Amino acid sequence: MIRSAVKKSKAAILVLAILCMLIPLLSAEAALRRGSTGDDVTAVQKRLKQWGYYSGAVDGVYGYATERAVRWFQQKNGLTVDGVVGEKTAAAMGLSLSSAVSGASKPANGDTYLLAQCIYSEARGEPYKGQVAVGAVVLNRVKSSSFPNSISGVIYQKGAFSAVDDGQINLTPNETAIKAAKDALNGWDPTGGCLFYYNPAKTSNRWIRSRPIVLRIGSHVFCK
Amino acid sequence: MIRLSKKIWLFGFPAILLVGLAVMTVTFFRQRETIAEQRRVIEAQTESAYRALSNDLNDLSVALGKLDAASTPASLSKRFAEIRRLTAGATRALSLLPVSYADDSGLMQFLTRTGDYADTLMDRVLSGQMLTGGQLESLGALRTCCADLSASYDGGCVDGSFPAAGEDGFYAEADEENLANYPTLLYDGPFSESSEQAEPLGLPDETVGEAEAARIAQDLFPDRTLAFDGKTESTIVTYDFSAADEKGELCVSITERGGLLLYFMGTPAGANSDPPGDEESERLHAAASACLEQLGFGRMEPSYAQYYAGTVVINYAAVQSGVILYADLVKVYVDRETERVIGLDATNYRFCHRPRTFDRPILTEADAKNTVSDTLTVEHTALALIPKSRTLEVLCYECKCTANGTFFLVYVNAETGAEEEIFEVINSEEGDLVV
Repeated sequence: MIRSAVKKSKAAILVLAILCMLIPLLSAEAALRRGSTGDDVTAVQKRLKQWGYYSGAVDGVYGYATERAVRWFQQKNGLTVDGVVGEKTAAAMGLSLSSAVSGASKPANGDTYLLAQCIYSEARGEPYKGQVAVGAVVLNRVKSSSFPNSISGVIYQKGAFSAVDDGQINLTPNETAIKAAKDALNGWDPTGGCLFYYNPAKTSNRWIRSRPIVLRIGSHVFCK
Repeated sequence: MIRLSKKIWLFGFPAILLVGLAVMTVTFFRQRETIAEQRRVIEAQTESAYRALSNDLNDLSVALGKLDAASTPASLSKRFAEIRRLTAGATRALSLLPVSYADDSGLMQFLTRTGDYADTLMDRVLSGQMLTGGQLESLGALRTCCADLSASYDGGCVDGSFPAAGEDGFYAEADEENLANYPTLLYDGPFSESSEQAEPLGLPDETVGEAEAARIAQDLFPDRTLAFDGKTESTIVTYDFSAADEKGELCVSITERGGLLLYFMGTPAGANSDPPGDEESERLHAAASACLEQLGFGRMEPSYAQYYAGTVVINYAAVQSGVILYADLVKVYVDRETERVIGLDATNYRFCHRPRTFDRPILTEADAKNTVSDTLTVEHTALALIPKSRTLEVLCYECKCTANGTFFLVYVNAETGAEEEIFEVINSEEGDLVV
């Protein structure tokens, strides 16, 4: 009886061990965990490093240090502490993983929605005027001869917006961002025609810093 | 049992480790292959954009060359339409290339302005005018520049030696010396240099200081405590103020030249976005008109309105001697819940508003109606000055027309009879959209 129980438990351990090793393969697309690699991991590491949770290398490899940082982040933000970046943790980080975060269905209102996505991903947390200002910069570029002449062309222009590079552009915008997009499309331009903006605390780019500053709103500096 | 246990430890766990190792190896190679595949897709898209740009530049050079051989307005218009199409394609392709703004803004500007210039010349040719010597010279310079650009991009397509992206994913920065010298184009169009560098015409020369601007702003909103946010050093320099209290956020901008209100924007109390009924619409318009009058704007004509996020936004255009000045626009935001004005944007008005001198229209109202398509029924006409760019306005007859339940605004040039603009008015849930 006892022998049988021991046998069963060892068999169970065996099956569990195999399952544990298979999990990364089976759920590689669903969440990020120890052993995951790739751009999504890089985005998580960047975000954790930016917020002081992670001090290791941003190498796209989800190792022990990354897991420890994720656990710390989850603990601080009232999330289930499991060291795995799933839907809720990704959302709390403001990230949209390749398929970990399911996007809400997008209404078919084209440019307004895309502009709201850009505003939300680039400027949520900024004052309302600052959110409209980001939308206005996109629209000023559309009207400028030096940029593509469509909203999608401007937003998806290579390297133009960090939110496109890190995937945050795919986050679902809130009502404030949608209103800000509509106000910007309606012509409100708090920047007076600016074509660029940046956060001085996060940018070391010498070229953008050399542009003459027109105004500051929240944490963003706007320039022409 | 002990023997069995040893066997399990001897063979079972190494087997588990082997299976695990195999799984991890498969995972590693699968992910590596996925990354490599994604990289190849991106490279293919980049090469495709590079080839499209190269082809468009080559075709553009040819299309510009063909202008020399075109002699009739129809033929010239065809070439200009082709140039417009090719420049649009080239700008789309260029925006997909990993080129930094510092490197590609010159080429982007060149392509956009070439297309814009072609539009302007097509209008000229269609109105029966010939191209001037200066315009022909500019077209020659564009062709030469285009041929040089085409040759420089063509090399990569012939031998496959596309520029390699650096570690940051971008093409290497171009040397200042290697940047093309793009010809300067003198014309009036939305993307022309004169339009992009236009100065405001609706502001007096005398300036006010920060303290005076603060007083003006505070007088406009005596029940709010405004704080100075800073100065906007733009084409229209403003002093910016704000308040954030139980009434919500409020931003106010006062111009340095003249100490005039440029805009203010508050927070709506509600979130109603449904189209209002006739009576509500009337009350909202009355509130907006009263506000404009109180703020000293002259005679203004309301045009279309939009409803969203608890507000109605009504567009007003200035009127002079019965002519609607569509460039001199003021947008008034009225809170649907309180029916009070919570925002006003006079940027366009401040930029453009000044007394205009009009020539007597050559066309009569009846002439203008006759030029409109037979498929349309003209419901109403009025004289309007419409902006073609920031520096060019055209006096037109605005013909409000219907056709099978669809509303159109047709603008007929009051001098030449040309149809300058056609807009469709779409009555959507959010109000009137003019497209």
